[in-house]
Amino acid sequence: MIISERVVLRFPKELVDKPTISALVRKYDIEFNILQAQVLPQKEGLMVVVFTGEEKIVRQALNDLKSQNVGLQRLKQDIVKDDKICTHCGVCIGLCPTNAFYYDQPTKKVIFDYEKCITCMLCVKGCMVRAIKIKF
Amino acid sequence: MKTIEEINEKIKKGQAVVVTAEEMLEIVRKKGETKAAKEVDVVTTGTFGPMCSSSIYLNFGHPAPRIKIGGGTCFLNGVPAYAGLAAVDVYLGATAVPPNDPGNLHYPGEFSYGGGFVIEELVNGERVLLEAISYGTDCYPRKELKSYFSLKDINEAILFNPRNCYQNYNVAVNASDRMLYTYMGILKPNFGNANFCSAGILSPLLRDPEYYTTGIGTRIFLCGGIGYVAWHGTQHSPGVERTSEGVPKRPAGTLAVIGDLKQMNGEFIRGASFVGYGVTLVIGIGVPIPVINEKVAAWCGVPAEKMFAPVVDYSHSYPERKPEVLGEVSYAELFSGTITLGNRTIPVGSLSSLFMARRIAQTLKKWISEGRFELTKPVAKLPGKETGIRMKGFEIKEKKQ
Repeated sequence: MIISERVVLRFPKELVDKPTISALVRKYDIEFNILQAQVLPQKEGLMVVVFTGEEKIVRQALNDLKSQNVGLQRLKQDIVKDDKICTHCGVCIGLCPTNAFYYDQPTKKVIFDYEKCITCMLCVKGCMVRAIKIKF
Repeated sequence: MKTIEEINEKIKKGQAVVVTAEEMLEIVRKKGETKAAKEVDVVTTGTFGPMCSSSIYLNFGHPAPRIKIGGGTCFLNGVPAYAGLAAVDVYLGATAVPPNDPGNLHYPGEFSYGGGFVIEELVNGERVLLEAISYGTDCYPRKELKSYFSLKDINEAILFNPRNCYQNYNVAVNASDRMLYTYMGILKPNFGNANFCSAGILSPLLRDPEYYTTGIGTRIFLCGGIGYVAWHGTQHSPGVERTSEGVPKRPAGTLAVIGDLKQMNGEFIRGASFVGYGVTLVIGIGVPIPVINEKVAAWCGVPAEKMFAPVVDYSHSYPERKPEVLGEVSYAELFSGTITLGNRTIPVGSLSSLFMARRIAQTLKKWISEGRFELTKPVAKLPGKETGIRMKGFEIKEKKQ
């Protein structure tokens, strides 16, 4: 079965200048898409990546990263919209770069499709009633 | 053709035909305004959006011994309330923030708490901390007061909003190359997004564009309770440019509204904060429109394609108070999700909730249909377009004379 696994990777500073991801995809038959990447002030690297491939191989690749001391966290539940708080105004719809928010027709409720989310967090800042939260 | 008294008689008997503004638009489109005016008695509107000029005043009752908070200082959950009134009357505005809030020192500031949130907590029945300090007098000897209270403990809690319910509003865009944090939300650089704030065809004053049925004394749905139009709102600007149907093409009329906070429902009144801007209150208002003749029906039949809002640049024109407008877009375009400006297609976000506006219009429809809400004839008219009144700018004067 082909799966897509969204993960937050934390690279210790001794790995920041190494081509870890490039080596990984050469070793395993998987695809990757970098959603976010940054080097933090303490020289640690933070990357949000989607790995796509055969489930077993993706698991092997992720275990390989772990064994190299790369911090690994699944992303799936990272951004959540609390529907008890949301007023369905839709200010997030215009902000989201990947159209992860949309109006359900005909109810006009705002729906969040986290599969499209790249955790840019603009919606978290932009929501006036703080209905969108980051869950670590 | 019909009087408000006749419509009220029907409401009392449970025979009034009440429809929401969305339903009325369809009826007028299918049957024409003459037939629609005959068939329909009341059209209900609704709007739900951030409205900064919102506030409450409270009377706590007198503690023993008494204190004169008036002339002293008062905080509600750490948020400053105005204490320049009588002994135990105070006034709290939606945008007030605690004195230790860092504001925009670490730009863009979070503004995580303030007046709007205190108001929401009170409506939800929560206890709020009252802290007052005063100078003490022979008749009011107490100098300090610290106590929790909730709405049920105090005499009066009145929502009074000097300006709500804007008739039409700007569509905000950002022509600069940096992110902007405004009361119209986050605006991405280089026209990255556009935000608007109106319920469009459900918006109370867009359905009654010439204030023909809405006036001082009009009974309204206010945040889940019953309220009234108290006056025209501040910045009321009826003299702006209008379409041939009479619908303003710029921000125009506004309403000052008043109602009992104790009746309100937390679903329809929400504290809110805009990153980099501040705290505010999201208010739900529904105004009933009595269909007294076909003129009223005709206004309710103006489609979103024929209602226009101005696109304004919030990186320059708005902050510098320049009159430039980048273009006009119809509400049909705004609700489609994108607008076209020159050769750009810009994604649109809304600050006003259409979902909640509908809920309000439907709730008011239910109240009227069940005979729980009767219509009122305005005591006085709001200033109309014939007055030519337009909102003034403030010109700075350095000398007294």
